[in-house]
Amino acid sequence: MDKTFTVALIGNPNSGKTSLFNILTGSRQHVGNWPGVTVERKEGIARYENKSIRIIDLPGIYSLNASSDDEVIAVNYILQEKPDIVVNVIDSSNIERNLYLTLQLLEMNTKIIIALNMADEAEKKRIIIDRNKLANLLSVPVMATVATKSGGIKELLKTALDMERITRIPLRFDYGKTANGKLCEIADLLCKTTSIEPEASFLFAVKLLEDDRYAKDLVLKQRADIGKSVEAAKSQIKEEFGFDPEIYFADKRYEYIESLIRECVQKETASTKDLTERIDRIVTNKWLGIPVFFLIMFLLYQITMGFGNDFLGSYVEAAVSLLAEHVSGLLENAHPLLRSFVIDAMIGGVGSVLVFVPLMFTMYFLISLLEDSGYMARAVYVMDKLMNAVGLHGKTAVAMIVGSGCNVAGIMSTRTLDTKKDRMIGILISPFISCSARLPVYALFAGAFFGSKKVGIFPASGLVVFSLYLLGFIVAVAVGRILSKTVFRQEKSYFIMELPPYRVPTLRSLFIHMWEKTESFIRKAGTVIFGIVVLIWALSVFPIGVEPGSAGSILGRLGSLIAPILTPAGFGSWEATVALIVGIGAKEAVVATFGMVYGTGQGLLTNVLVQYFTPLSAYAFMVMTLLYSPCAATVGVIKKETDSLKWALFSIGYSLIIGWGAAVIVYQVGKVLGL
Amino acid sequence: MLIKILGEIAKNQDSSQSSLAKALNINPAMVKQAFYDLERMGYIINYDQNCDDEACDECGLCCTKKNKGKEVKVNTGITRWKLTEKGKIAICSVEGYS
Repeated sequence: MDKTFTVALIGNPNSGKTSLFNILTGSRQHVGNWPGVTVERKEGIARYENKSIRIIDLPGIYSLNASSDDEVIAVNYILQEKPDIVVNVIDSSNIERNLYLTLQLLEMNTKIIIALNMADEAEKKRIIIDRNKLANLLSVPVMATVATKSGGIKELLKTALDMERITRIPLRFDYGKTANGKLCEIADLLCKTTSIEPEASFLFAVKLLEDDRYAKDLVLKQRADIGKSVEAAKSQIKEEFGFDPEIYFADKRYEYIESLIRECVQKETASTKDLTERIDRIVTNKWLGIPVFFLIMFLLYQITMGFGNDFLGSYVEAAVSLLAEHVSGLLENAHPLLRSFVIDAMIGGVGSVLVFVPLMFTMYFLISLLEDSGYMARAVYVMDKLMNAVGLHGKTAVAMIVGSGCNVAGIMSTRTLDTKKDRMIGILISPFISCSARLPVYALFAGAFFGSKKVGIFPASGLVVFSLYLLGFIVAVAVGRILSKTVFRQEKSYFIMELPPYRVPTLRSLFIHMWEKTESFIRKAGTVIFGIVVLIWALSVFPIGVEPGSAGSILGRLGSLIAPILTPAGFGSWEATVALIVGIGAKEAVVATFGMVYGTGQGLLTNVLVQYFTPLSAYAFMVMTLLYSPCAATVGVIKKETDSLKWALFSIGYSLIIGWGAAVIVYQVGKVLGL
Repeated sequence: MLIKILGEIAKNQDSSQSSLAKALNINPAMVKQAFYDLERMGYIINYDQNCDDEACDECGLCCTKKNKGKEVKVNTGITRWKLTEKGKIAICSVEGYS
């Protein structure tokens, strides 16, 4: 050999190409960059029977369409540098996908060996590839390799060296009479008028019709007028087949791959059903998917309430009560205003919110578990089908699932919706979904009124919270349905998604996600909630002379003014009214306000609440909290996303009516039923 | 196959890669490759939204995008695509779906 025999390795990412390169070259490697780009270039020397073979590791790519730097490098290298052999490394267990690149390589004027790598993996999956048949059909050698165990390496190098003497004719697909005719015309033109070699002219004709950047740069730089012939050919093909040549040609390749697979690959169907597929058969099942989803949400709230709130929360609650007692003792002789501020506002207000930190930890741990395991994606998928079934666009399910963490995020996720109308519905129904900020309110009331009761083996408080989640969902769907039939008529849109495989989440990742989310809750308690509490406290102690936190204070008077409207819902006290008004700022502030206006720490708050509410009015209050006006942050996002103050105000107005109406219905119907 | 996939998307409006693979009786890996090509050709676009809007900063609770300067995606674990205008026009060309 006059020059060093060169073998280029090419293949899809994760096909085991780099392992093969490492086995072939050992420590005889050199790493640099491809000219003009920051893509790594790896080169090394392999030895076989005293011969040195230069091995080039080309970037991992899926096709040769020059749509990325990696693809340009690969095409450029093969066409310009002309390696003696190109070894196409294929992941045997994923041969269908890998063959697309193979077919493109076969269209090029170069000598190719197919290395069916990871042959052991394919064997485990009971994928049997008839190598001889594949080799015959493609007219290239097909070798089995297991790069990680050096399997088939010597045979591969021997075949590569043997191929030096063989001349290969590039594969020519039958693209159909019209397309073939046009391709031949352009190939002929390229041969006559450019420096493109005759063997590569057909390939370049294909690439030009596919709008390939690399081919256009190379050819049109030499003869710009060829562009006109290319455009005319494209138009004619499009006219005949209805599609651009690029998709039409690609489709032909896929058809060919399908026929190759039918001929050469056998799979044992049962063995290909992996764990993901088996689980998906249940959790994304047409009939079981939705019940499974709600069962999981039911269990999530049961664990959150039973373990997070009742068990862990009781320790924090005891600690806050202890702190309140201790500080109260310390400030016995302090100024009444200072004492009121520290005990009522800081400990009673902010402390009553912080009591729910364990609950948040538990809920976010479970949500992170669902997300990281891959289940949440399935939840969106099954909900998507449900949405369709009730006449809403499936994509609104994304907003509803994401919105159960935070309505702001739910509204942001409506950006995936295609049409303005779809988005408007998604935005307007998202606030009805029970977000985590409402959870402290539910936990407080459910704990106070239903905490000691049980339904079967389940604590009633968990059932109550789950019923609110379900109610929010039902109201969102119902309102969405009404909006889609009246204000916003649906337009056709299309949506495709890929579900991730299931995986076992790592504890580290779960704790990181849990902490990230709960930390925000704690931060909010120390900033936004604290600010609100200070304001409310100030309004509750003025004017000077009135009893702090009484109906005579500014806060009391304001609440008393609106309270009669809430009387039919069963909670017409000025305290409840004020709490709801404050909750428009941030839902967690409802709890803080109760903690403050009742002038207690959380330890006594549940005892005080039972004096003002009955289980029925407590449930009606929770329904109101769920459905009435979105919080300030959500309203702000609605305004921003709809670019309209009108819709932001509408979202407040109509949800207030729905929330009030639902609370009144719950209370009045409950009274009639004697609850 | 690409044209069949576009046709299937047109027929169902909401699809998943696995449902497309089942409907067309092809390997899910092929659908992945087909999506790669359809995206490259501009018929579909990948559509993963980040909470990268300033409005998110108002939400301290769950969208922790600004948490220690790190961007956090709205995590549904799903990779989404939607048809581009070119894709919608192409769908009209698929026989029986216009």
